[in-house]
Amino acid sequence: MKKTQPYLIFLVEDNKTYLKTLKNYLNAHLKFNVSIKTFLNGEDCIKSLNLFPEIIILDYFLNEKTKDSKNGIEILKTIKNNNPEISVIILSVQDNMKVATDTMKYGAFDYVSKNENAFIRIQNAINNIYKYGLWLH
Amino acid sequence: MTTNESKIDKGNVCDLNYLSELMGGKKHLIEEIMDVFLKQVPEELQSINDAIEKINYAAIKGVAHTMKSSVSIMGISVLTPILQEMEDLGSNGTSIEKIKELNRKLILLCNQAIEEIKIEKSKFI
Repeated sequence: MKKTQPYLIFLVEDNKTYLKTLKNYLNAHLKFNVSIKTFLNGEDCIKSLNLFPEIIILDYFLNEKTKDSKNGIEILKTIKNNNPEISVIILSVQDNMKVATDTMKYGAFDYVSKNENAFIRIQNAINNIYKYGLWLH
Repeated sequence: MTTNESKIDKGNVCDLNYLSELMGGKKHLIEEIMDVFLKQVPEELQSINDAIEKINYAAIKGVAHTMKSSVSIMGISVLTPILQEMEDLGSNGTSIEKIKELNRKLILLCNQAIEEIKIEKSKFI
């Protein structure tokens, strides 16, 4: 049985243009009821985990501009420690096998490189999580 | 004037076709993203200028890295190699004079992109 309230998705990305584009893209293309909340850093995302998001799209390089910020792997670990059932999709500018392997090791659902296919790949990953009921806690 | 006035002219630095495809041609969604980009770019150029003045290689690398994502969305492919070189030089912590030279190109091209996007945006009204 699918839940009736909106499916809650967090987007965590420090590039405001990329963040807005991803939010608008998902709102325009996802075919089920979603509520999307955006964050410019991982720390604010962590503070909102009490809202019980089903999915978090998390940029790997969150501390490129603000060195005090934690990077994506550190935030991923904190999310998974807090609630291992949240599906986390990691985004990265580079197609980096080491980063991909590390993210999977720490429990990410998928790793998406920020190329021209990134948006459709994120959409497909979210659809798979929704379709197979991986949001059920 | 061409048959399609909204199409980006040859020689422009922006190609908004990718963004338009992503948003399914929905103008209000494209316009929202343009607004964010138009606000973000001057802030980032200022950050790079400040970092160059302070010879802060880590900050140069960080801002150049972040800018790559947004310029790719706006189809400003001419900026990608410039930003990549700035990021690499920032990462190596060398060649501030070369970074300054790249930054001059970056500023010129970003200003051109901003003007082009403002023109495209004005066609939505």
